[in-house]
Amino acid sequence: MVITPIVSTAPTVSAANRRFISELRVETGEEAVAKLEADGWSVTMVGLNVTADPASQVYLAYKVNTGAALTNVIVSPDVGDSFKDKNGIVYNCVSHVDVDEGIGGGAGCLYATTDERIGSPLVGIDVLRGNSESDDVLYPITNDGAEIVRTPSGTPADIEKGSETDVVYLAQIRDGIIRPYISEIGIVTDTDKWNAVYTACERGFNYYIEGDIDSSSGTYTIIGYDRTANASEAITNITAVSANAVKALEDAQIVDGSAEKTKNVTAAAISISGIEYARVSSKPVEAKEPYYIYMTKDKKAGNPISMLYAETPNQAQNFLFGTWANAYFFSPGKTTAYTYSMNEDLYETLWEDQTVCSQLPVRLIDSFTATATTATGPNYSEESAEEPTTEEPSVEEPSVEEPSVEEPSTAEPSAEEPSAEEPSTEEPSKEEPSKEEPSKEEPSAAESSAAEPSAAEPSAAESSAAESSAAESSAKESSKPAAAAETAGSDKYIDLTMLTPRDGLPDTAPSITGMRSDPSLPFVERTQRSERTNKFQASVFGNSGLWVLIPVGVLVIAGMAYIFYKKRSESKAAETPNKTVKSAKTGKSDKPNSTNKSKKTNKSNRSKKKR
Amino acid sequence: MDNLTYIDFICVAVSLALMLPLMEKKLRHLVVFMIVGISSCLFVSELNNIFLEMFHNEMFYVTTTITPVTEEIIKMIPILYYAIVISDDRRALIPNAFAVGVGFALLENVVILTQNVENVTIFWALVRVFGSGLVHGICTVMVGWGISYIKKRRKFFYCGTFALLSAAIIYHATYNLLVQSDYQYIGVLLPIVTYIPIILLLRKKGIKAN
Amino acid sequence: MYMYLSLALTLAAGIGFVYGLVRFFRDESALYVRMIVFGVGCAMFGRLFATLLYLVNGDLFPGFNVGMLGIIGSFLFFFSANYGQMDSIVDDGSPRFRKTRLIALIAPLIVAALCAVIFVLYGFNEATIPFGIEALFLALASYFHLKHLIIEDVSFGLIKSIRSYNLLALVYAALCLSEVLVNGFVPALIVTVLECAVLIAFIPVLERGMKKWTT
Repeated sequence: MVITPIVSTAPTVSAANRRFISELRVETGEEAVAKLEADGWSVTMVGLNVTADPASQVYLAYKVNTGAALTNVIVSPDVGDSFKDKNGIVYNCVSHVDVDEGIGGGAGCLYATTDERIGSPLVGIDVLRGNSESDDVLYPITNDGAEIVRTPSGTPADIEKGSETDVVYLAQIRDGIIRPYISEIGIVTDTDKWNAVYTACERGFNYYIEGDIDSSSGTYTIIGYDRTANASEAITNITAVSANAVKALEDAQIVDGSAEKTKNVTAAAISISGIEYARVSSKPVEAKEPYYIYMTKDKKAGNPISMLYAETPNQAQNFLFGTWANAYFFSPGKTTAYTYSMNEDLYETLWEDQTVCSQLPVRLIDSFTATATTATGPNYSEESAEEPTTEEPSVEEPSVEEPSVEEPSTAEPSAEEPSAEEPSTEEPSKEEPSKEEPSKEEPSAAESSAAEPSAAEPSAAESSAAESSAAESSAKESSKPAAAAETAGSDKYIDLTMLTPRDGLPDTAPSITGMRSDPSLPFVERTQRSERTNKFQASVFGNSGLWVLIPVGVLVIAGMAYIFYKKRSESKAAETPNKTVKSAKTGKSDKPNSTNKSKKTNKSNRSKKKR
Repeated sequence: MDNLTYIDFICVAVSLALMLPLMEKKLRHLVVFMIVGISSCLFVSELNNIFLEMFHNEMFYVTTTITPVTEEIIKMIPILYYAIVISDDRRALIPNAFAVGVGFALLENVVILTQNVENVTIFWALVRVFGSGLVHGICTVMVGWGISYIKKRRKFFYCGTFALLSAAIIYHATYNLLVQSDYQYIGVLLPIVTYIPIILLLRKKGIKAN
Repeated sequence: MYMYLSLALTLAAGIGFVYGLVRFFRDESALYVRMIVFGVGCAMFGRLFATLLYLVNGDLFPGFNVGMLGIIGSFLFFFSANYGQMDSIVDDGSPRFRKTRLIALIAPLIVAALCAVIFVLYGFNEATIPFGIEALFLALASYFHLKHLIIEDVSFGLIKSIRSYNLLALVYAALCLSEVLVNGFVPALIVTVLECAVLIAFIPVLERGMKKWTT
């Protein structure tokens, strides 16, 4: 795969002549806004509390100038004028006013830091409101480049903590919002979408992919991810590996039945075509055939990934593919959140070749053992998975000697990566059975591992185990699972689609609707998502709500009823003289009408006739 | 600042209401119906806002599916009421129905004007008047004219009223749909194209009494 | 592609509507026939809205869209015309027509059955409920169409002469319902072609029948 140089489109941050948010202030009370504005503060359009009473509303104000820029804001219980977080970042209290004061308090105060280690300077801050009971749910990840303000422990800070239904978040927007590359991904499973997104946010992700990638009905699984402007930090390939295949790999390590503890071996990293992939989830994703997701940042795996998509998981094909994006955050006035361009031919080609990736030979790298042992047990930490081991061992094939099984999988190199010959990597430590061998003849990992002590002593011994074919599920059935061949085209496979840009990102800077043209101005006030460019607004919308309607409606109905009653009594009166005449003829006596009434009646009769 | 919509309403409706005592009966009816239209607009604006929130602020969906329904129903009520309780004489009903529509459009235009005061132009004003102004008028006339036919017959009344309302809603929704699309100029022309033949016909034949 | 089908229906209803306007609105004509013309006009507006929605939005909104009111409105006009105008002439309420009235109930029952099929196939959800409501009005109208199709003519050929119109209206009702049931472009195309034919034929067929009233 040709790798072309990637040109970062992110604007460079030079604080010298740029203006950022350097001061924040929190005020409450009816006169707060007027006072703040008189003092030269900009006040966010929406208050921090969901209350109609301006006297108890809490307002957030900021100043934008060339002073020391704020780099992060958090909501913390009031612990004094400043405190140091676990990373040694010092936060200063913005104001000792509880941001939830309007509703009852309890959320805490705003603290901010100017420490540059935490990220780029802030150019905007926004108040987001949602109601958990309505369908208009506010998720703690916005996917538009903004970051939800969190608590010191990393959980999203709900400013309306006292309310069971309303949710209010602060969103901070950093400079360098253009971050074209995906830097980290993680799989998050929870009971429903909101909880899954919340958990992803807690884990530090600022983006997630729409769609439940889990086939099980009781859970919601999403992919959370983060972005970077630095191409060298970008993920270059993501692949899914059948849980059965992984199991086969792991089983292949247990060559010595006496070593029970090795049963906890976890394939935290695998080698595909000589490239090391790290696992991003501790549990398999439930699907037609459960699978794990592995990712790599190795440049040999392709160009950086800019976009990920999740397709409906009920399709036989699986869901992931990346493409490059020209712009990656919400543009007001458009219905779609993303604008991206893609080479049609490339898309078509890869779409047709979806199965390619599933047929890739999957082998253990030499360093597998070490990685596996450090990441044993069910509580495998994401961090270790996300950081692929750096050592890419040489193309050494320790398992070559393994007589037993030939690895058919290698015989079917993927179309994309014919280098199926990739041998398993070699463990530097003890293992060195290595013989350079074309992958096609690779013996099964099972054999190789059998020959090895690795099972007993994971860290050292495993080395050779390196070899395990991507034998997918079929491998499991085999007595020597790793040796089993991949059965090409079988619907048991996870069909994975992965697109990486062959030609790199476009040289030109993306044009992004909604950003200010002058980069020195902060991107402070964002247009509401729902807002459309609507030159000729089609309908009229008020803003006071239902309470106005009720008295108005009552008044109108009362008026209508009054007129109706009046008309009715008039028409009854009109009928009365006729009755009088009738009763006179029949000899019955009726009360005579008053003069006025009979005049009225005559009048109305006349008008009727006239009509 | 207080609510601008209500400020607009007071400025427009109260001024008109102050004229009422000086007017002769027929003219007074027209102005009363204009005020009724203006009040309907105020009422509908709040109702629309509730629906907008209910449908996740999906402005396009709401303005093409929900607001035509709410607006036409609210505008129809005074006309229906007039036809049932006061008079179903076509000569009175049609101008009064148009007055309701015009009153509605009047406040709508003023409210939208004050909400977008920095972006409006003379062209915008012309579009508002000949576009949405006429749409509201035409829709209420459509309903008023139809009611004058069917009111006398109870068997027609309920279904006929609903059918007329459906027609008015579709017409209104079509305008809203077009005016928010790339074909907005066709949308603006739609009410004009509808209005001119109606006027020519009425001028030629006059409005016949029932 | 479905936009073109919707456009075809708009044009067909438009042809019928304009023809009706030209034939029955220049001079005094029976309110009955004018209401039928309005019904066709209402269908035209509904289809026009759906076409424009396809054009602007790319697809119809899932579930309810205002265009459905066009179909509902057209059947209400048909229903009003039959129930309010014609029925009292052809059915004096005497026991002699009791059997006819009962048989005519078959039409709404069939509509209800088709509706049930839709609910069974696609579930009771946002997308199908609006069709259920539409079917309600369709059932109302179809009762009188069937009734007037089979009722014994005691009014000097008045109802007999417009039986073909009532038959067409019944076919149109069935086609409207089947719009939901058909799956795929080709069946949709067939239904659309049939609907177009019916919409165009409505007014001329009615006119031909009405001529017999005066001869």
